[in-house]
Amino acid sequence: MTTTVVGERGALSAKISKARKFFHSVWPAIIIAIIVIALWYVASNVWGLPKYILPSPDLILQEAIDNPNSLIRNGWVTFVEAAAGFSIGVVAAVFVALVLDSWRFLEKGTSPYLVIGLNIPIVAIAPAVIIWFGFGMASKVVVAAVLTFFPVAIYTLKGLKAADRREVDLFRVLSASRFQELIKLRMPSSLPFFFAALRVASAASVLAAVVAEFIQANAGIGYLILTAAYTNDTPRIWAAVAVSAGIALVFYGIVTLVERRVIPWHSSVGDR
Amino acid sequence: MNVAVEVRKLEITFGSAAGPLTVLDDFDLTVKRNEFVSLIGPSGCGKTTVLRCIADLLEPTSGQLLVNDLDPKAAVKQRQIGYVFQSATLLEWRNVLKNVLLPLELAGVRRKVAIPRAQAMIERVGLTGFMKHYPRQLSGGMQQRVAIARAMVMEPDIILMDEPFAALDEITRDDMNQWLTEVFMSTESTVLFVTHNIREAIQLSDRVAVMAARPGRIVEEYTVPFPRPRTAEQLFSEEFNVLRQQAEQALYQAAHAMRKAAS
Repeated sequence: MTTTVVGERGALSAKISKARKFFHSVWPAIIIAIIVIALWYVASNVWGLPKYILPSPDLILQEAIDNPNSLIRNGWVTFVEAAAGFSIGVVAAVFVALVLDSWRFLEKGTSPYLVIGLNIPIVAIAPAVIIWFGFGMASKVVVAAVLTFFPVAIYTLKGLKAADRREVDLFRVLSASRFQELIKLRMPSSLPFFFAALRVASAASVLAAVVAEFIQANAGIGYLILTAAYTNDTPRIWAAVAVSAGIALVFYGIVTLVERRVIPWHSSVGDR
Repeated sequence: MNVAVEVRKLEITFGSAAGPLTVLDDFDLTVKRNEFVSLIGPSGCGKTTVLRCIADLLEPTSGQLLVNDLDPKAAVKQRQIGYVFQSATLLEWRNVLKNVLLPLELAGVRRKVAIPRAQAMIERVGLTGFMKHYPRQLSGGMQQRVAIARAMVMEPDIILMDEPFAALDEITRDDMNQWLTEVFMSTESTVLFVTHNIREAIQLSDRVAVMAARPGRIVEEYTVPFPRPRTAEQLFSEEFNVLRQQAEQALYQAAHAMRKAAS
């Protein structure tokens, strides 16, 4: 009986200390945000920064409260485009990395083009993709997938070759097959690289969707910003910017959470 | 058959930018079954190279190499060789139990059989309470013990150890050496142990072979007359000291000759 009570209390205090730890790690960021917003408010309302350059934060908030529907609807469109593109890009990248890893010739033959692909400016390819896939969501998904694909493929491939030489020797002495070496050594070794690439790609996929919407679209955050710009509706522009930043942050957060679950043993995951 | 490892006229030559470099030449070594042999020599004399050849991690340029009357490739394939590296080389994503399970997994041993075997081995290296710990949560000495448990879990006929305790402090190292002696006494295995610590070599071995460098070869061999378990009295005896001095002298000459050759 007593032991149960102690156990519960232990679990509760563990939870409290976890919450405290979290608070300690985020409060500096919160304070900085408060200071920046306060300065911004003062700049707009006391120092007279014109509204068309940067509207006061309360005006942006007001816009979000007055017209939440268009922000939510367009934000959702962008979210779905980025998420779909990200998923397709990751699956394709992992597949290609595994194929190239086991096929030396193809790897050597394609690696320079992968690097070129990594450096494709989105603005340059988006118009062509829109011509191929239309004004709707499909073309944005493709652009987001392309921007996800290259970093994830390149870093996963790199990670597959990152196993320690001594660990490779160990597997040789233990008479491991090539397949066992891939599954039990090289794939786990590649995970930290894979997740680092996912973080980069998570932000890039949102960016890709928004930029593609600028070029030609009938919905989405990029579309919303463009139409607001025609009427010089700066509070609306900034509210849309905040929503797109929020989407990117959600993506990043999900990747970080999954990373903690999958590779808690790696040094990139804090809290030892 | 009484011979575990037989090395005859082994030669290793690497091609390098400055021309061919002969690391080992005319290297002979015989290790009998259930014998503990240490290989000592100055750094860079090719001790590790010998182990790597025996474990088929390196192809000899010429010479003969037999492990249990098999060539190294076949011996590795039959999982007769255990190798303990200089660093523990544990897989950081596996806990202690799963690290020790690795060789059994790779050999396709059924989990039902494998898990008790791994657990028993972990118990033998004194880490029963740490099965669920990850490598980074263990001290250097504990990590190396996990590595030794992993090398022994397949019960290989021959265990090759490449300065397994080199990174440990003197006190931990002494402790590990005593522990290793106990483990060795309770198994049927044969050990070839590389070190550059003379005291460690004598304390552990039945036989100590001193190597010279450039090219690497055995210049001197000493038989250690003390029966096991070795007592503190033996380790501080006059006889131990004489043996140690002899080996030290041989090692000094080997290192000196190496420096002379280099200049």
